[in-house]
Amino acid sequence: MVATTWAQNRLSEYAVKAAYLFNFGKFVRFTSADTAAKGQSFDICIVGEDPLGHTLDDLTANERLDDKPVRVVRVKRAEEAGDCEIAYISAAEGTRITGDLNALRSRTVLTVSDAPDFLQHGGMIQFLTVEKHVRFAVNLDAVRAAQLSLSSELLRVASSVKGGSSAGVRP
Amino acid sequence: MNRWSAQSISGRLTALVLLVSGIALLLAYISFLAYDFYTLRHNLRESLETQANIIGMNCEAALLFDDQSAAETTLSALRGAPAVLSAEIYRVDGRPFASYTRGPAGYQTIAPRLAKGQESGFWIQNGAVLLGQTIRSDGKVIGSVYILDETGELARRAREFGLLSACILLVCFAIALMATSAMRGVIIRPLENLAETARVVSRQRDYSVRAEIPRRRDELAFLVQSFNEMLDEIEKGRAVLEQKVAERTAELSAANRELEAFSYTVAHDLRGPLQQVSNIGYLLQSVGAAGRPDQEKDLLDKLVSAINRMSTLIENLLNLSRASSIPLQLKPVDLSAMAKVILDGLVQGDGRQVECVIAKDCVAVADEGLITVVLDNLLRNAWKYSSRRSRARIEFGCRDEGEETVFFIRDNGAGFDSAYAARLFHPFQRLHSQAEFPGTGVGLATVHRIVARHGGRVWATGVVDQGAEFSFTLPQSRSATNDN
Repeated sequence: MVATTWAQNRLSEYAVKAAYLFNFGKFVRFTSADTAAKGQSFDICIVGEDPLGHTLDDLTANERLDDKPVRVVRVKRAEEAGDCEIAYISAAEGTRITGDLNALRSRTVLTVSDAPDFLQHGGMIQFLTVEKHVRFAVNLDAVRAAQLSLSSELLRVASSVKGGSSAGVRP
Repeated sequence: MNRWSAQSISGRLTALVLLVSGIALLLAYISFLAYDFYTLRHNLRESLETQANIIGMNCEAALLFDDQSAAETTLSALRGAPAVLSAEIYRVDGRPFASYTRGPAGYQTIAPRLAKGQESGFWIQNGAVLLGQTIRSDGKVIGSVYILDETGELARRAREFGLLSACILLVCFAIALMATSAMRGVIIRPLENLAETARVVSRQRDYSVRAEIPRRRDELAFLVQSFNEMLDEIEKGRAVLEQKVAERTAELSAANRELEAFSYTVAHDLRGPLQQVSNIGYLLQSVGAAGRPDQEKDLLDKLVSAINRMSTLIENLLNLSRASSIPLQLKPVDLSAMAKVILDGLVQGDGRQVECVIAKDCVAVADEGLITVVLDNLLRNAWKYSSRRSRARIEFGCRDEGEETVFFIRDNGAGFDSAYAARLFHPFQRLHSQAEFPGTGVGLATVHRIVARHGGRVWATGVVDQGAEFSFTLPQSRSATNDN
């Protein structure tokens, strides 16, 4: 199929990533205990520098995920993102990413980043750019270690899935 | 007769059975087909909707993460449904996202045609059905899926139903044939038998044939039986008619013979006095030439006597003829009074001493003129045949016997042998010679004819030298006295 670059033509790469970030929320499932512990809103946290700007705020305004209103929270440090549902760590964090991931390792937070080698450091979802399309890869071991689960549908559209069974790995 | 011709009842029955079953089958076929088409279409739509829903759910992530190849992988699962010609997924803004086609032959272009807010749609285009369905994610429309499915199933069902109906029609035809042949025994055969009998009767005028009565006691058996009874009646009527004709013919030939004998006798009896007249005339010529007036007087007396006899005979013959020809005018007639007038006349005529006994109030319904002739003849006979008795006695009377009245004239004269009683009433049949008792032999024949015309009977009993009794009856009621 000819790669359409519609998303890139109209929106910036980060606008697409913001939409994906929100869409991930549709395919991630928390245990009921975690859902209760995490409070009354579905928080998408941006750790450190924010390359997305207001697009994520615009996109999630008046939206609900997991039956909660969506809130975009910006935090300086990863420790503050422990009660978020999704934590986006921008590539600008650089070498701090390892520390950030360690801070969140015991928490049930879906970690997403566009930093290279994010998965090797124990991150869960990493944005990729394939033929000018924004795609993503999944580290299923990390997801399971955090006692999270991702829908097989999401795995099916992932560029690659690391760990776990072979299910959902695309050729 | 052709068994299956359209004219025969069996042929018509078969045609009727076939027509009815054919119409019933056609109606059943159409309604089944319509119902099946409806349910099939409904089922097809449901099944396509299910497929579209599954595709939609499986393509949710692909649409959200703009993964066209994942969507096409999902669509390619439709290869398992050979009826699907093609399928396409469109983005929410109407741009194509992913497509599937079974092969170039079955490809038809699909354009998104769901209106805004329309959840799903079902269309028929170019012999195929198209189903459109929106794809939602968390209640928001993120795209739409279209599946184009061939309608071959519908055509196949119609063909199969048609084949099945044709088979059923064949079975119906066989059943109809069997039913008609079964009906032949019950209805057709007796009818044909009846028709054949009727044909024999009308063509050959043979009323002795009878139709075979069917064993079943149904209307047909009744019909055939009635037909046979009708034949019985006709046959009987014809037999009676033929017997009557034979009787009439016999009567006619008897009357004819009688007439011949009568003519002969009339001629013979008239010739007797005529011969005498001729002879006397001849004698008168010779006597006149000889100039003997005494002999002349004697011859003239004889001539007058012969002419009188002839005149009487002719008079009696006229009476006889009149008795047969003039119309009857019936009314009550006092025969007692009439007998007294006649006997008084006879007494005054020759002055004999005869004891006359006349019963009173013997009344008959009769033609007065003709009954006078009857009484006159019978009383004159009595008078004549008792003329040699020193104490002659003549009695007229009547008595009731059952429903009829018997009138009788009795005398103590010469009488006759009862063995010849029947001959008395034949014309010119006489039991006594002209010398003993002169007569023409026409009187009693006249009496017989008149009484017969009144519808009555006349008979005579007698003993030689002891007297005779003549009796007759006249029906009292007018209806029995019709002129015939």
